[in-house]
Amino acid sequence: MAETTSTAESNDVALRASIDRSLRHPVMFFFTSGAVWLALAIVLGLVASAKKHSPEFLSCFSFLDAGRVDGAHMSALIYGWGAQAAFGIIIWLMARLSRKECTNAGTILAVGHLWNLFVFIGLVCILTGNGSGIAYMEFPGFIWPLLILCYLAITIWSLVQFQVRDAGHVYVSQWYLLAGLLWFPWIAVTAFLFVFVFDGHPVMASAIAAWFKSALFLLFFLPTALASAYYLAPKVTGRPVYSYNLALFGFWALAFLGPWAGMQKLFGAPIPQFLPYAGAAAMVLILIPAISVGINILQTVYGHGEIVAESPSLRFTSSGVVLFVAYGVLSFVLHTVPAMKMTQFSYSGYGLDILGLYGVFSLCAFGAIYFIVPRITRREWLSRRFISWHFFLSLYGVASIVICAVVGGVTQGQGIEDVAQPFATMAERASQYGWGVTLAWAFLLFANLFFCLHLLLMWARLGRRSSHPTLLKGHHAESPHGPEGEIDNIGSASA
Amino acid sequence: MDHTRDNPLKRFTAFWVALLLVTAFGIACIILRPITHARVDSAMEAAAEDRRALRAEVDNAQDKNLNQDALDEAFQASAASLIASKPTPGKVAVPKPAAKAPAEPEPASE
Repeated sequence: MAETTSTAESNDVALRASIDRSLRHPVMFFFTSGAVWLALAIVLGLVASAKKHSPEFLSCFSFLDAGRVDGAHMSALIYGWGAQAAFGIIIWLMARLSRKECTNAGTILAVGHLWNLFVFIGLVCILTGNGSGIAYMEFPGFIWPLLILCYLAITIWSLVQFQVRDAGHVYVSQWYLLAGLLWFPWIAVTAFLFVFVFDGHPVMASAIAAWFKSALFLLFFLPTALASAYYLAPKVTGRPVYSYNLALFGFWALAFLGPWAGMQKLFGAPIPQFLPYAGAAAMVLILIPAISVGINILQTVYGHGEIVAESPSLRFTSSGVVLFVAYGVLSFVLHTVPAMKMTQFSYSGYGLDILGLYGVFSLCAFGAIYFIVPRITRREWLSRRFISWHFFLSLYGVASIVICAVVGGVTQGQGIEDVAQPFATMAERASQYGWGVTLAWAFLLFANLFFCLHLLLMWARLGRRSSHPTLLKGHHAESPHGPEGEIDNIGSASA
Repeated sequence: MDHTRDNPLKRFTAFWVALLLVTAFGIACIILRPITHARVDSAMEAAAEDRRALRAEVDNAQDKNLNQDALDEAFQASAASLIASKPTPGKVAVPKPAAKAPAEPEPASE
């Protein structure tokens, strides 16, 4: 009996190793190129933020005009870093959970290069003044069908893997992965057709672009981050998910509310009035899935504070989940009608966007990367200090951006509402907070230089050859992974 | 491996079903667009049609009444007299009109 169990375990380990080997090149490519785009996005963010309070900064370069650099910053952050980190997580997680090797790694890798090429062309177009000027869709119209085709060629194999998986349990992570995989083409194709192709009314095109902006986070980046969190929290702590029913409730709450959000950005615009109100209500109610997921994940890791403190993956993931709850609370506060009146044309929306994209999605993605990369490279992370600095600088940076942007935005909104004050007073008040945001982007730049360098070293297979994972606190005399030594007990990763 | 769930035929079918699923909404939008897109005449467009009709009427009337030959002759005569004339020092060709206060509005008739 014991022998049978041992053989089954050995087969299981061999299967996991073969899945990791099959995905090594595409996943590492997405993570490393994403990290490089992230560093570039942060540099652009720094310039864009500086231009808000010091318009003369780098004004000798026309391609760094405020409008262009802001669009390039968000596009690099979303399509350069965010999408590629999501691709890496989706294809690895779906293969692992479906227990199927990837048989199309070459295609995924080749299309990954094309994705990078199109993002690069799109950014050049934005910086040369040929962007569309639509928030989150700044790339010119011809780029979008190419990106959507690339998305299909990268992710369709994960849907096939799910379909041919061995019969059995469908994990919570798989719900989110599957939903994100199907929701992205829905929102991207809809937004592309109604904004760039169909000759609809321009005001409705703006409304659809605003819907796309919210849906991209709530229906693609967020499900990917939550899939990773629902995988890592039980995996690292060795405990099952706290409540299956709560997970089910949180998932359907997000699926129901997510598609309604977005059009609150057009409060007062000549569109049917129920649309902005429905959008604002959905954003207020996002607090419900945020609390459900927050309770479920944090209860799963509850009582394992030491593991959360030691494990880079779990530390980043838990922080991402806590920030998701903060996102829900902030969204609740900022989308009530009196607050909307005050903050509609201020920095506050930018603060909420960065909290979602960087605070929630990116922190969970970093957690996944710290977990996945040692498994596919069969090397351990080189430096716990690099990981610690990355963590603290990221957390400090994102918290500073959100606080400065939201508080500055409210101050700005009060200034706009106060007709007795000259407009310049309001701009001066807001610029103080703009300095804070610029400084915070500098912290994030340092954080991601450590991360990018560390990841590139791992890509070059210069990581530690050890059985011990790199933990963030002291060295353990006894490791659950056995004695120190070669980790390639299943065969070489290059095989 | 459970061969009833994973075989080349199953993978081939899954690929096409997945492709259809992810493109379904776009395909539906493109197919239904001509059926559902009724022409909407906004007030602005309706007014523009009247404006265009009036403009066409005026243009036609002007074209009909315009004697291009007489106009050319008049231009030639004026050009010849301008070329023949010599500028007088201290005088400008077209005197600058003196600034005038705006006229008082006429009282509204009862």
